[in-house]
Amino acid sequence: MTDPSPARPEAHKHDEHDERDERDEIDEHDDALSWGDERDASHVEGPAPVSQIGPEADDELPGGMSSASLVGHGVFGGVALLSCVGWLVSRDQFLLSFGGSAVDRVQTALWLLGVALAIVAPAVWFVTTILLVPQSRSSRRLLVFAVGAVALAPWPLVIGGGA
Amino acid sequence: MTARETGPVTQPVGPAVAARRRGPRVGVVVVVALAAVFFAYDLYEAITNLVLVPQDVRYQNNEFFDEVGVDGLAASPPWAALVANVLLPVVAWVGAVVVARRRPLWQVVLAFVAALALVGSVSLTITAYVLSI
Repeated sequence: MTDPSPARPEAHKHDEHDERDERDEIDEHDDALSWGDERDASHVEGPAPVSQIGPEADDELPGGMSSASLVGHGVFGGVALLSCVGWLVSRDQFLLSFGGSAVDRVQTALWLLGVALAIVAPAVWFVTTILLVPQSRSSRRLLVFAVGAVALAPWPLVIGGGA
Repeated sequence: MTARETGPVTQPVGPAVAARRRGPRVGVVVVVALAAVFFAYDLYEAITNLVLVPQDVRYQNNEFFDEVGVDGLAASPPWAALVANVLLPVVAWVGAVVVARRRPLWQVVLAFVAALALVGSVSLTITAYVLSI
């Protein structure tokens, strides 16, 4: 092995000096990017972080609804809209008329009111559940959504029978 | 301000206010009664079906099928569905009354509209089922 050239140690010294300067510069940059802490003269105590507010805070969004509940709302809302479309598609098999007399006309009107309510029922159930079941009882809300999704599904599309 | 000036915490209740607190409000009674008319029509339809569907010709030949030994052709009316259709408006109306208790009028209206929509939807499902078998 050959010795390093005589100029090498000097160059090494230079490097060390440059490195220290560079580190100082970086520290200054880091200071500019940090918020400081309690020891900082300009430190002001802010509100506690959201995650420390309550035991369930990790699971809660700022609106107070857990992410699972939010997903449930989205899913059941979509199911309700699809159910409305399903009822709308199958409405023709239920459009009846009972006759021309006054009583028959009342009967026909009430029957058609029932059909119209059946078409909008999934959406009405969804909105009513949101308005009548408080947000804090999200599990009960999801249960009511589920009952509505099953009971108000457009089953005549599957069954196929007409009135 | 002293406690004497602000008055006692529990104020004496006048007869009119007491009556309003004891009984249901007029608006709620009107909504419940009006809803009952619509639910009654659903009940009337269901009872009509309960009486008329079993009289359908396809359910009238069971004795004959039995005599000639082709029991497989015998058909019985869908009693469960027909009875469920009769119970549905009653159960839904009672359910809406229970849900609507001690709520503002608009929520009472909403509860009954939702219950009526439920009855309309499930009734059509039952009708489709009865006609499909």
